[in-house]
Formats: sequence, structure tokens, C-alpha cells
Amino acid sequence: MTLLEVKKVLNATCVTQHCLDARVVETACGADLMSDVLSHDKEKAVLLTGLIHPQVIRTASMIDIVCVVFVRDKIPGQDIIDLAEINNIPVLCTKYPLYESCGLLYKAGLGVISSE
Amino acid sequence: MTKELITITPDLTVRQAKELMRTKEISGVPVIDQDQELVGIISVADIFRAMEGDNLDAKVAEIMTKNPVCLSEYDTVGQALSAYRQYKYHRFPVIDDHKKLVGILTAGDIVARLSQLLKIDQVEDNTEKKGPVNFTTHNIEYPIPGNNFERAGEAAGTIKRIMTNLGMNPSVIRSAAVAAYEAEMNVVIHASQGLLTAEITPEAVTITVTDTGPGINDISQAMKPGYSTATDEIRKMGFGAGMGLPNIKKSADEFSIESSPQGTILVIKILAK
Repeated sequence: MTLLEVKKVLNATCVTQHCLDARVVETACGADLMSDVLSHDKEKAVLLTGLIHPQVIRTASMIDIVCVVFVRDKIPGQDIIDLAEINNIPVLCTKYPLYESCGLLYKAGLGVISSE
Repeated sequence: MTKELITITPDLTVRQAKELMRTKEISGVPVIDQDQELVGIISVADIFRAMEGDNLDAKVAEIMTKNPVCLSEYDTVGQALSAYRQYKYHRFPVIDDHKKLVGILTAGDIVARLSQLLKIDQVEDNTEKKGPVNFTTHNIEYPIPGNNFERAGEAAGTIKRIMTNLGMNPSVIRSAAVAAYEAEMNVVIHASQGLLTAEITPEAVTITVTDTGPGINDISQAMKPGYSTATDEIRKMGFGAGMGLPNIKKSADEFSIESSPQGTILVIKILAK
């Protein structure tokens, strides 16, 4: 799924410069605890979180998260946006809560576990 | 370039264009005719000029920039960069051979592509090579100030950057980054000060983190996923989930921990498989 599709599914707003590019995500991780995020071992993931803190971006950069989505209409401060720009991580904001955001992306086919 | 285009026609009023740009949160929009051919472009600056002249009910055709500078869909990123340097515009319409609009290229698009070329593609390239990495030993020493969340993650970030530049395997880099970051956070959260050292060789990465106390009361408890002594304040910042040491152990090939009230010594070894 492209970031543009993620943005559409979540009816999200992009708060960083580099958003509508060709990067692709294959799975998602929804968590507010950064150690839970660090234990996520799949690649090409989008991180969905309700935590607004610069450490979200630092954590994301450690495991090469492709894109960060702040849920529940939370808007990150400029310090977080600047850090995301430096780390080349697009940041989206959506009004949906974490559970619904994850559900919407899963329903749209992101990270769906094959039944085979 | 962005292919999901928002366009207007020249017969709309400036007021309508202004409203569209406000609701879509865009700072410029291409103007196309009934044949989808590009005839102009209108920017926030054009809108402001119309507002100053009390001209909001004029047609877009009257105030738009006619015959805007365009890029061809066959132009390279290098040619696009030259256009940015020459004209200093924020966006360029991209047209096909029939002058039909096929996209918009912004500076953000170019930065993203260059990032892919310089960073992401480089990592993928290294993944494919998987050959022996040749370099001499790199030693890193990084002080970690306790309770300083502004700088937390810098040491781990440094290790990750150096390993990436050395062309090491991405999965090894990831394991080292996670282990170093968790260890660094433990010092920031629990200790008054600490030191992270790392020895990076083509065969392995050894990260040693020491601090000056107060030490871990019960190491076997601390190793249990979910066990945490962090305060509510720390948890509000997304840490103290009780996954730090378990995450480090999971990332490491070899792991040892010693602790006393005088301090804790953590040694993490990750093999460069």
C-alpha cells in the first residue's frame, strides 16, 4: 500500500513536506508504548500512535518505520515535525482513534494475514 | 511527482479558487481547459494580489500565470533540479507530449526521490551484496546524561548511522539500534549518568552500557516482560513498559548484565551474520 493510499484510507492530513511519495508500506504497528514498537520485527511498517513526543520519531527511525500516523486528531509540535523531516519520515494525522485506524488499514488490505 | 491532481478551469472566479485552495490545503493549483490542456497556474501570491485589488470576483483566467514553466514527464530528476535552481518556483506542472497535464512536481517530491536514491536504495543495494564487509574496528564512546529525554536516543542513532555507512547488514543494524536504544533509555530513565561504548568490527558489534547506579534490585524480575519500576511520568512519555531488557535480550546474540547499588553493566553482542 502506498503512503497516498494510507492517507486516503485514514482521511489523514500530512504535516511533513515529504508525504505523497512512492514509498510503500506492507504492515502496520499500533502502539503507545515505545518498547512495544521496538519489539515490532516486521519491515516496511507504518506506526500508528496516540503518543505525542519526539521519542516517537527517534523510536521510528531506529527500526526504519516508513511513516508515522498520529491518531485521535492529535497534532504534533513543530519540534516533532522538524525531527521527522530530518529523519525523512513522513507524518500523517488522522481523526480516527487508534483501534479504528488500525481496523481501517487492515480492512483496506494492509498487513492482512493470509489464511493459507 | 504527485499524480492525484487538483485542478481548476479558467472560468471559475478567484473566490472559488481561493476556497478550493483553503479546503484542500494547497498553495497552488494548475488551470486546465476543456481538453485537459494546461493553460495556466494560480498561486497563493496571485490570490493575495487579487484580494488586495478587491478583485475576488474576477475570473481565474484574468489573474493566473499564463504559459507557466513546465516539466516534461520524460525529464530526469537532475533536469527538475536545474529548473528549481533557475526559476525558484515551488511547484512545476508536468505535461505529456500533447501538453496535457499529468502531474505536479514539488520540492518535497524531489527530496523524497533523492532520499530514496541516496539512502533507501543504498541500504537495499547493501542487502543484495551481502558480501564480506571490510573495515577496521570502529570504537564509539558516548556519555548518557540521566533524565535527559531531549538527547535520549543520540547514542543509538550514532551507532546506527556508523553501521549504515559501513555497509553492514540491515538486520544486524536494526538489532544493534534497538538494543542500544533500549539500553540508553534505561540509563536516561533510571540512572544519574552512564556511558555507552560500542566496538564495531566486520564480525560483530559489542555494545557496553555502564551507569553509576542505583542498580537493579532484582534482575530476574527485570528480565520478565512487562515488569517495570518506572514512574507514571516516564510512562506518559511512552516508556517504562517493562520491555527494555527483554527487547535487548531478544536483539542480542550474547547478553550479560551485572548490577549493584554502585551501578549496572550491560554487555550486548550482536554477530554480523
